[in-house]
Parts: sequence; structure tokens; C-alpha cells
Amino acid sequence: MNKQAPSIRPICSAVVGFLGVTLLAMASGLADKMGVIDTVIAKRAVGFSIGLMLVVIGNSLPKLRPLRSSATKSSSAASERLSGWALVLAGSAWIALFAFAPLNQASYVAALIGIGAVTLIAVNWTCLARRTLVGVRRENERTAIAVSASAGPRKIITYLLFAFFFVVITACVKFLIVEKQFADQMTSRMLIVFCLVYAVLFAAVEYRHARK
Amino acid sequence: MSAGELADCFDVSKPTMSAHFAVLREAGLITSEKLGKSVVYELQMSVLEDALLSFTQAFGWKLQQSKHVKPRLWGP
Repeated sequence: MNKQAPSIRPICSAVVGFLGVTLLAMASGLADKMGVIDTVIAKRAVGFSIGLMLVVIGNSLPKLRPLRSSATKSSSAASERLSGWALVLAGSAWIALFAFAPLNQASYVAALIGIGAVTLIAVNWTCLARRTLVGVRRENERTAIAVSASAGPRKIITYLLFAFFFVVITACVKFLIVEKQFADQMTSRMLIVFCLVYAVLFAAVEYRHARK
Repeated sequence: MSAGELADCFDVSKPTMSAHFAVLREAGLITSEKLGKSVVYELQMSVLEDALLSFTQAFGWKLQQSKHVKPRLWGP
């Protein structure tokens, strides 16, 4: 089985959407620190932006096909569809909550929804990986061919999804912890862990790419 | 569906179909895989497109699948 070169357009849209919404969230936070806008409005804007990010990435996830290989063809499409729907629904809930609900309740409920969606996706992807490893070992050679055929775009998707899940999990932790100082400490530690894991991921992906 | 099966549904030549598939693949609407000598095409929908398709199907609108007849894409 040989794949044709994948279209770069969905990847570009997802990357531009992710960066645009991240900049919006960062601008809201910065405007709050500079005293340009009210803290409550800034928090709502950040929550709204992250909800928008969930919708944008969730919407394009079935097109990005991050789990695709010849060994997991049909089951990966179902997993990506489920993950996409979970993210879009979670993002819509975030947008509605931060637009209309009281801020304290919105933060708490949105964090629980976000953690629920990420957990669902993590369990689903883990089950898919387990099924693939246990049942379809003989497909490994063909998978390697398919992966190497589209290694460049797949690297971008891997980095994009890693950054996206980090932003979502950090936002959920920050919204869930009421005490500001402790929340800031937690996010600082998470940023360090993110940098370390990102470095390891980068090395692993580059090593794998270089071997092929 | 394979390129041959799809070409049977439309009243155009296979090279023309191939050019259309290339445009659709470039736009990210379909994916293609080569299986031996044939090329298999698969729809690639975003969540919004999937929701819109489900919505239209819920109201009785569906793709008409008929062989050797030029299909009306949308109908009751």
C-alpha cells in the first residue's frame, strides 16, 4: 500500500488557527497585566480563546489524520473522528460558559470538561495503539513505508498536537486551582516539564526521521 | 471507492476524473492510496462538514449512488 503525497492545506489551516488563537489568549493576558482591560473580561477572553482553539483543532483533526498508518487505517479514522467531535463539543461548551456563565462556575466546569475530553482522547488513542501493537505486528513493514512517505507533514502535526494538548491541560489546571499563587507555581512547573518533554519528543522524531 | 468505480458513476473520461481527483486531494477533501494497480479514494471530512452531512441526511437528503447513470448529487 502506497499513499499519495498528503495535502498540506489542512495542516497550514490548523497551524495558523492554533497560532492565531494562542496570540489572542496571550494578548488578553498581557492587556490584563498592563491594566488595559478588566481582570474578569481578560479571564473570559482567555477562556473563550482556548474554547475557540479546541473547536479549530477539533474540527481539523479528522483531516490531519495524526494516527493514520496502514496498520490502523479504519480504526484510526474512527478514533480521529471521535476525538474531533469530543474537542469541538468541549470547545463549544467552553465558549458558551465563558460567554454567559458566572466566571467562577465557568472556570470550574470548563476545566472539568477539558480534562474529560483530554482523558477520553488519551484512553481512545492508547487503546488504538495497544490494538495496533498487539494484533497487527505483521503490518509493521508496510506502516513504515506509509509513515516515511509523509514524514514531513506528520512531524508538524505531532508538534502541533503536543503544543495544543499542553495549552489545554495547563489552562484546565489553572482554571481548576482557585489559589492564584499555587496556580502560577503549577503552570511554571508544567512549562518546565513541557520544555523537557518537547526536547525529548523533538530528538525522538528527528532521530526516527533521520533513520528513514 | 476505487478510481474505476467512481469513474463508472460519471459520464466523463478517466483522465478527466483523475484531474478532478487531483484537485480534490490538493484541497484536502479526499485522500488516495495506491493498492496494487488501482487507486482507492476516501472522503476526508472535518467535523463541521461531517455535522452538515449528518444534518442534511437527517432531513432526508442523501447522495444518490447509481452506476452508469450521471448522478444528481443532491435530492430528496
